Amino acid sequence: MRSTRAALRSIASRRREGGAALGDTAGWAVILPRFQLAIVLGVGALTTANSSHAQAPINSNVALQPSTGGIILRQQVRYFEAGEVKAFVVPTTILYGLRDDLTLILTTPLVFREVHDPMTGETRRDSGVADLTFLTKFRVFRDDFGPTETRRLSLLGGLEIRSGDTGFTSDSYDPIFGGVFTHAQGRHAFDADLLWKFNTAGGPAGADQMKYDVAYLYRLAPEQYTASKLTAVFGVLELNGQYDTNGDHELFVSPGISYVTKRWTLEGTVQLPIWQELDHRLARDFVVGLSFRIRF
Amino acid sequence: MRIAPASIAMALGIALAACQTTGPPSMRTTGDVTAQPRAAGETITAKGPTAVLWVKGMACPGCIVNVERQLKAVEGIEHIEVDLGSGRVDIALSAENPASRQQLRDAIDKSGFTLDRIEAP
Repeated sequence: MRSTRAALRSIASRRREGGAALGDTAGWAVILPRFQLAIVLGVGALTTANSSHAQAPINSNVALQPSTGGIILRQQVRYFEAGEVKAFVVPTTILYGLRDDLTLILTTPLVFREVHDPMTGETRRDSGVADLTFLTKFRVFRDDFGPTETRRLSLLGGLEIRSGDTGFTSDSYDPIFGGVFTHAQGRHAFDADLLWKFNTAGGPAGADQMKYDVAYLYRLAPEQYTASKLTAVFGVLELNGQYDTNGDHELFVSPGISYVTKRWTLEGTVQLPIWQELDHRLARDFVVGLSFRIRF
Repeated sequence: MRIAPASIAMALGIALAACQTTGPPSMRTTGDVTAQPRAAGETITAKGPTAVLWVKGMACPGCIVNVERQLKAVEGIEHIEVDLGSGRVDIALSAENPASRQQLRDAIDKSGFTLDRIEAP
């Protein structure tokens, strides 16, 4: 396993030793394409988590949906560090319930990034719009077996759409397909999803991606809902993985907490890598995420 | 950039502090009904007829919005109150033009949940 961070260190080392003719321009030329790729892939991984219902995991999908005509707005702020790269990713997601079993989902991610060159001490900052994600969620199975008990299966399909913002876009239109299963019973909920993105970009950046997530939610409070207890706090534990067909593979463990009211949800999570085998994109040291969802 | 983790930690702290509460007693749907648990068949305070819908699958507080949205769109419903734990939805119907059972069934269907039964006079 040879991480991209190691590659960056190697570049810096060679430059220090003067063994390689890597001027400033060449150095950035090596670093930035990898970084751009990391942003594109990283944002893609983050924004496919379109779980905007209330009892939902934070980084994974959920099979629950808004009702017909219902709108949910989700604003996330995510910060991650990957070696010399630091970035805020700010995805805005809007969901619209076309029918009770069919939801339209659009995510637009803004990226604010900072790259530090340890050799020159130079820090470069810029911002842009990464690729948009349009998804449809169609429920194919529903079994409501109690007042707060349900199990549902939904299919997901859509497109990652190029933003056209140089340095932040993959410059391709990539189909996404997958499914998500949710089981909620009493104070417990379980979600699992699998998504496949067919990357049409070609070249080293053109690997297909498989994203998989497993999440467990436990309702910390209240023990029992009543007519007067309509807010809830959930502890969340997720495993969020992504495998690319170029061999890259990473897995995060993501604890979090979610405060849910009838109209809005506030949640926070930390994602920590437990497995990273990355040769084509930067390895994120950690991700911290905050999210706010409001239902209309 | 360095400020970010601290800000995020602060926001998480606020969220954790919020965890200590289960919400104010007034956190219920609009109207003048009481929030006391009622036996099946007992009706909410209303001038017109009332009905009780027993709904399955509302897994969280956010699900209430789905049910309310659809019921509020039905003419002839004046008040809605949801007890999430039991899945009981009390509704006060208009005295002049009460919503029909079929309208109630359709509304719950559009909300994405399962209507178990309707109790109405």
